Amino acid sequence: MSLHVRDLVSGYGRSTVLHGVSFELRRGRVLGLLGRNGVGKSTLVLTLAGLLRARSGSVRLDDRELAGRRPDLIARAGVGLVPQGRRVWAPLTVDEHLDLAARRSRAADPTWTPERVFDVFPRLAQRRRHLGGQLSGGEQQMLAIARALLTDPTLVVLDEPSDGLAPAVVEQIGGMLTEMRAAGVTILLVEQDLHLAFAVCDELAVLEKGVIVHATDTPTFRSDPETAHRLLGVG
Amino acid sequence: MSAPADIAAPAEGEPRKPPPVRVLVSVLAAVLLAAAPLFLAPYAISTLTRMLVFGLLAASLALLVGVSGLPSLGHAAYFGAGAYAAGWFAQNVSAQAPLSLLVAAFTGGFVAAATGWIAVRARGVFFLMLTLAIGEIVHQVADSWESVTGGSNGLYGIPATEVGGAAITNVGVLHWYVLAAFGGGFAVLWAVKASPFGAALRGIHDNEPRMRSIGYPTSLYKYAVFVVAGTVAGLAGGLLAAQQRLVTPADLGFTTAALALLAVIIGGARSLWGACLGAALVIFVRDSIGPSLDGHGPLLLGVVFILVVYLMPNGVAGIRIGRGKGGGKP
Repeated sequence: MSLHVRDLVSGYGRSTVLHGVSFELRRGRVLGLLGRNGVGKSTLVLTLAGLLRARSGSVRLDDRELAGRRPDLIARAGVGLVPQGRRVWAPLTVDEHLDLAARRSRAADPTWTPERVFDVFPRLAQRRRHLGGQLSGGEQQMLAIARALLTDPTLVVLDEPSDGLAPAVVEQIGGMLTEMRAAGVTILLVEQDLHLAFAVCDELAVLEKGVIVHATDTPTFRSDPETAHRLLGVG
Repeated sequence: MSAPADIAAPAEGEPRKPPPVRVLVSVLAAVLLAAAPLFLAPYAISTLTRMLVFGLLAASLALLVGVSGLPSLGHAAYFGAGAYAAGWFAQNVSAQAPLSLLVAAFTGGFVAAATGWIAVRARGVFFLMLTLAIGEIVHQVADSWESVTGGSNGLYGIPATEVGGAAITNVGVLHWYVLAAFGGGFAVLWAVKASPFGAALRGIHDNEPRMRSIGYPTSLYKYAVFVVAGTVAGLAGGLLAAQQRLVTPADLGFTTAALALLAVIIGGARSLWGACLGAALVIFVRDSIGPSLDGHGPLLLGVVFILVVYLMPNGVAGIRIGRGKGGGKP
């Protein structure tokens, strides 16, 4: 068992957003987390990364308890975060991003190197000396994924990586997710783009009002469009 | 690191590389500063020396404000602590050349280490207020600890710095001494800024949560740079003691801290040499123009500040030589 989340409760100030989220994700599997806007998807991501403190509940990664720990320690424990809106460092070059991440790599002999990332994202290789703020949205997304990978995480959490990107770029992102999966990285993909989710996810879960209301493997989910329509408002 | 492969021409934006023009300008500036005593009048030389002293203080503050995003209003505390320590050491122990400067740097770093731990845990306006409070406390200590600091009279009669038994009394030689120490301090700041540690600081400035999520203990990094900046400010304080041979509570008071911050903002915040230029402008207005304006120097500084903020959002350093626009937000 890789990731084990149980009864996770979290929120902002006096409002509770997650009312006890539980799920399991085996090593090397890809879980797609779906749900309408405002159901708590990003809150879950921030809580898993430690940027938002869990009120109660447990997050175990390879039998280590992460809930309530500092974000830098959670990262060191193997959680890589690709945040919503990319959030690359505008005044730093692409090379500086990769270097900063590689310096915090958990592995002595890392699986992910800049060269390997450039193989999947050749566009990034052409932009090595450009500032984060000078990149296009798609390039920023590639950089945000690369930044997370170079720390050599066992689990990568991506918050809507396809948001606002051209289909061709989404395809490249999907290619990277497939490559990551093949390398044994466990992935939690928060996504609104069902095509991307269907293409790369082994399992799908639907979040509604702070709890997971539906969880199944991808083929089963696809064979039941009625449920999908009821939960997501889409076909 | 392998050589960057410029496969295709970039679509938009310019790649960053240090143009040789900047290296040339730096060398030229160093040569001019070193040659200044050969052709300037004594009064002009000591004004230039004061610019160097204040420039080093401003550059150390720029490392905090512009690079790391820590706008301190109490940075004069470490400058003053260094100045008092150097003055006291020269009076009571030894006036031998680099010793009092080392004592000053150590004291500045020590006081920063003792006070910074609280400050770096606060953010934004709270950081500003905390550093202001720390500055006022240190100022109070200097004002009331008469047996060591001389109280409100200040520490006076500091002996001239000695090199191999001979006291430096010539303003030109003193200028070279200050210039050499300035070069050392500035090199430290530059090396910190250019190092991977400096890149981490810039990342923290731009987006701290993202630095934490790739595993950086950011509070520790901010604390470390606070101590480094305090150490260099202490060194600048040691230079102040060597030049003025008098240290007063005003040297570590709010006015000094605010002037240093003013210099940093005029200089463009992110740039170390810009902060030095800002400091030179502040000293020039305060010491050279101010006296002939019936004490309205601060008013003129205010006007300069407003003009710079409105007309040059990237400060003096924003006037780029051979370089594209700096890292603006998208």
